[in-house]
Amino acid sequence: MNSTPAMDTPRPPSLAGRILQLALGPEGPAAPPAAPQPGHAGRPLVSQGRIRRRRTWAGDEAEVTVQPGDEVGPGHVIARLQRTGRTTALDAAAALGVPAGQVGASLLRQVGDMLAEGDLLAERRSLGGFQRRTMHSTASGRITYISPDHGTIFVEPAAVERQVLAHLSGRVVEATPSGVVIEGNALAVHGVAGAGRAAVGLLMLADAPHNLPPEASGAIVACAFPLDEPAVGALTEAGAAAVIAPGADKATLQRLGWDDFLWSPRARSDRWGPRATPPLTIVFLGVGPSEAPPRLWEVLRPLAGRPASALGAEPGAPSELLIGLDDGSSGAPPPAPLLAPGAAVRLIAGRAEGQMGKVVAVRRGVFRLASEIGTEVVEVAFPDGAQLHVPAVHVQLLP
Amino acid sequence: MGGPETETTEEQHGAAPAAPPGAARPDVAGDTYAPLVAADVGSVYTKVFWVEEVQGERRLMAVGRAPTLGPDGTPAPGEALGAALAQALQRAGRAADTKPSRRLLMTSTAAVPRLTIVAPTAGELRTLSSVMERLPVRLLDPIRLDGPGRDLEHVLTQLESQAPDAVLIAGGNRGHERDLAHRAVEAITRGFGGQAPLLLLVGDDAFVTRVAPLLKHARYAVAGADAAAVLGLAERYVEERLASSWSAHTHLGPWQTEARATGSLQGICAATELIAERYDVDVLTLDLGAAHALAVACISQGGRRRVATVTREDLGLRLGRQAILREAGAAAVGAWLPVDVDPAVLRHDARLGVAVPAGLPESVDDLLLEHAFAREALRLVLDELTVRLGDGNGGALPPVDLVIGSGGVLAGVPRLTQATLILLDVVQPDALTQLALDRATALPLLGQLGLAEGADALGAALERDGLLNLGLCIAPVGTGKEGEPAIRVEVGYASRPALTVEVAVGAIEVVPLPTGERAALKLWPARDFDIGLGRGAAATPRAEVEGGAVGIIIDARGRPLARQDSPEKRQAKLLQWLQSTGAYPHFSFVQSSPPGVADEPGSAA
Repeated sequence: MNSTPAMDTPRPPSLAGRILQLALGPEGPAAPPAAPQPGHAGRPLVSQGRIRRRRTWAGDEAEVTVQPGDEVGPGHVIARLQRTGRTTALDAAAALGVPAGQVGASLLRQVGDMLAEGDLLAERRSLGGFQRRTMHSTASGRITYISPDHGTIFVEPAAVERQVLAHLSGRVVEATPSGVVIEGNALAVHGVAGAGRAAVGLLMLADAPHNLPPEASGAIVACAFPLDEPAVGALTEAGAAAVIAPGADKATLQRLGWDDFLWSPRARSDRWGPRATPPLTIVFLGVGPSEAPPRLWEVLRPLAGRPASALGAEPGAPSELLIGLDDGSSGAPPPAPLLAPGAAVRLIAGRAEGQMGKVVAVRRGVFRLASEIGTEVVEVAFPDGAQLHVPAVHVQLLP
Repeated sequence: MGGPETETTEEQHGAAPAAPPGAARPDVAGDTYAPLVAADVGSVYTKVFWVEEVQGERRLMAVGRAPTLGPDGTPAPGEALGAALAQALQRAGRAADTKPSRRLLMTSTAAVPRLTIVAPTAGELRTLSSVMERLPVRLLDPIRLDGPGRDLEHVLTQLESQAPDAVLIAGGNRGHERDLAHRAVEAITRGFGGQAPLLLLVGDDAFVTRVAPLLKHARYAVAGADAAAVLGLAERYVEERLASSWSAHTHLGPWQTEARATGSLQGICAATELIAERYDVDVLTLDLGAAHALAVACISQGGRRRVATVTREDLGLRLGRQAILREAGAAAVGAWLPVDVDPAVLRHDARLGVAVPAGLPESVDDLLLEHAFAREALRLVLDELTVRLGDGNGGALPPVDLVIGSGGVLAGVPRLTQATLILLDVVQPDALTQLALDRATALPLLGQLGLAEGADALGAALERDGLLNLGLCIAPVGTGKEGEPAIRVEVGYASRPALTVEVAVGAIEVVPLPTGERAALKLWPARDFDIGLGRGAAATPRAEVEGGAVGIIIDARGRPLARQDSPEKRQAKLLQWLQSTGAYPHFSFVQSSPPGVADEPGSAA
C-alpha cells in the first residue's frame, strides 16, 4: 500500500482527476405509490351490464360491412380484411445468367399468369441450344410484375380474407375504416391472457377433465379446471372453437410452447399476418394452475347453451368471454368495481396467488409490505383462518 | 459498514411531498405562480407533475400517479390522467379545479419505432447508423445490399421477420450502388404492397427522381443526402408517429386540446445531453420502465460530444421478462440471486409480469427477483450501447463521470442502496463515478422542457427537485487476493473527526456522507490497484466531495465483477455484498431473522 499520500496530484485529462461537482441537491418529491381510487380493486373477474367494445384492425385494407344503428350478433361479420402475404421476388436475371433487359426473351409466363410452386418460369438456351438454363417458381401465386430494370419476377400469393366478428351483440354506434364500436348488454368474464381471435359458439361448461362436453364442435367451452395436455388434445379433437380456463399446468405450457404467444405483448400485433397460435382460441383467467372460482361457476351455469364469444388476443382488445344478455332492456353500465368489507375476492398475484377469500377491511393510506414497498392494501381473510394484507392491485373481485 | 439510509420514510410511503425547503408558498391570487402541469403516460402507470414558480424559480411541487390500465386491462389514459392530476393537486395543496397555465404531455406507450437501415455499402450503413444513434428508436439488424442483400429474398425475408415501422434506405454514391438501392426500393414496394413500411429515402435528387415511379402506392418521405437532413427527417417521423398513435385516444379533454403528445424517451435523451452540456461531464443514463429499457450516453469522443442510445421496446421489466429470459437466459438472471431459483419460477414470474403489469413484489424474495431481472434488462441494453460506442470494434464502455438511473423500477426502490447496487452491478464503473437517481421519474419532463424552452430556461432548482444525488462511487481496478486490502480511503468531514476505511478485495462498503455535507477525500489504492492515476498511485482530489443520499460507495469487488467458481460461493458472496451495504431487510433464507412487517400473526406462510 502506498504510504505517502499524493498532495494535490496534477489532474490528468482522465476521469480520476475530475471529481464531479454537481448541483444535485436534496431530495425532491419522490414518485408516490400509485393511488387507485380508494376502495377499488385491480379488476373484476366478471362485469355485467351495458358495455362497449371497439373492434379494430391494424393496417389491413378493410371493407366495413356495418353502419351506425345496425344490430349485430356476436358472430356478425362487421369487416372483411384482405390480407395478401408477402410477394416473392425471383431474380430471373441471375438465375438465367442474362442482363436484366434480356429476361423478357426467356420468359415462358407473363404478368397475370397464375403459378404453382415448381412451375417452369423461364428457359434460356445458348451455345446453339446445347446449353439450357431453366428457372422454376419457388412460390405459388400470380405474377404481378416483371422488372425491366432488374429482371426480377414478383409472384404474389392469393389474398386471404379475414373476417372480423362483432364479438359483442348489440348496436353499432360508430363505424369507420379503422374500427367499429358496438354497444350491448353482456356479461364479461375478464381474462389475464389469451391467444387466438374472437371465436363464437354456444357456451358449454366442463366442471372436470373427465366431463368434457361430448358435442363440443364449434362450442365455447368453459373449464373449471386448469388445462393439461390431454384436455387440450381432447378439446382440439372435438373441434371446440374456444376454451376458457382458470389457467394451465406449467409443464403443459412449457411443452406446448405457448409462452411465446400467450405472454408476449408483441404477440398481439399482427402486422405481417397472424403469428403462430394454438389450434383454438384460449382465454386464461389466471397464470397458475388454479381452479375456477366456484362463484364464477354459479354465474355461468344458468347461461350454458347461450351464444357466446371468446377473444384471446387481438390488437387493443382484452382477453375475455362475452355472453350476450338480450333481455330487451337497455341496461345500465356495469358498476365500478368496489372493494368493500365482505366482498369475495381472488388473488391474481403474490404469495397467495390463486387463493380466494373475503375482504375484511380496506386500509386507507399506504401500507409497507415485507418488501418495504409502500402501497394501498386490502385485508383479506381466507377459509383456513389466515388473514393477509395484500396489495390492492393483486386483488380481483369475484361476482 | 452498512449503508446509511438517509431517505425519509414519509416520501418513500407517498405522503404529500412538501414544498421545497425555504420556499414561500405562492399567493395564488397575488403572485404569478404560473403553474405548469405535465403528464407522462406510461404503459402501466401515468404520472402527473405539478410545477410552479416559487420565488422566481420553477419548482416541482408534487407528483401524482395512477394506473394507466383500466379494470379490463386495456389502456384508459383519460381516467388515469384524471386520477393522477387529482392526486398531484391534492399533494400540492391546490384546489381540485385549479387550472394550469400550460400543459405538457409525454408518453412512452407505443413510442419506440422500429427502424431498419438498408444501404448499398458497409460505409453507408455505418454513416446512417451513427446519425440515427442519438434517437430513441430500435435499430434492427441493418441490411447491406452489396452483401447478403444482393439476394432480394434475403432482404424481404429479413424485413418480414423484423416488421419495422420504417426503413431508412440509402441511395448510394456510385452507379452500381444506385442500382442496388433502386432494386431494393422496387423489391420492398412490390414485395409488401400496401403493407410496406414507411420508406425514408436518403440520397440526392437523382436517386429520388429515379425511384419516384416506384412509389406511387407507397408511403415515403425524402431526406437530403446530408446527415442533418436525415436526422431531421427521422426526428419528424418519430414525432409524427407518436402523435398519430396518440390521436387514437379520445375523451382526453384539455390534454388533447391544449397539449401535443411528445416522447418520454426523447425527454430522457434530451435531459442526459442537457446535463452533460451544463456540467461538461460524460453522462450515462439507464432507464427501465414496465415496457422498455433505454441506455443513453453523452460522452466526449474525438473532441466532440457524442450522443448514442439503445432502446429496446421488448425488455421492459413487467412486460418484457419473457424476452429477458430468452435473451439473457434463466441462469444469468438467477446468478444475481443469493439462493437457488428454479427456472420454472422465473418463467412463472415472467408470465405474471404480462398478466398483472401493475403487480408488486410482496416479499424481499420477490424484490430480489425483480431486481435480478432489472439487472439483466439493463445489462442487455448497455452491452448493445457499448458495441455501438465502439463502432462495432469491441472494447469496453468508455468511462463516464455520472451515471443516472431512471424509470419507475429504479425510482420505486424502497431503499436507495438497491438502486445504487443495480447501477453499479450493471455499469461496473471504475475509478471515480457520481451516481444519481431520477427519484421523481421527472427526467422526461426536464428534457422536454429543455427542448421546448432551451437549456437556460430549465432552472437548477427544478433539476435538483428531479434528480437525487446518490453519492460517489470509488472503484479501484486491479487484481489481488480476496480479503487483502484493495484501497484505503480517508474521509475528512467538515464537522466531525475524519474516518479512514480500508476495503478488501472482493468487498463493497458504504461510508456515510449525507446530502448537504462535504468532505475531503484521500485515496490510497493498494500497489496493484489503480484509481485512475496508475497502479498504486494515491490521490487527493482537489475539490471536496458532495454528500449523497447513500454516501460514498467504495466498490472493490473487481472489474469485471468477480464471479465465483461455484454457485455456493457466488451466492455467499452476493449475500455478503447485500448485507454489508444494508441494501435489503432480512432474507427469508437466512436463519434467525425476525418476521417481516406484513406477516400476520397466525397467517398462512
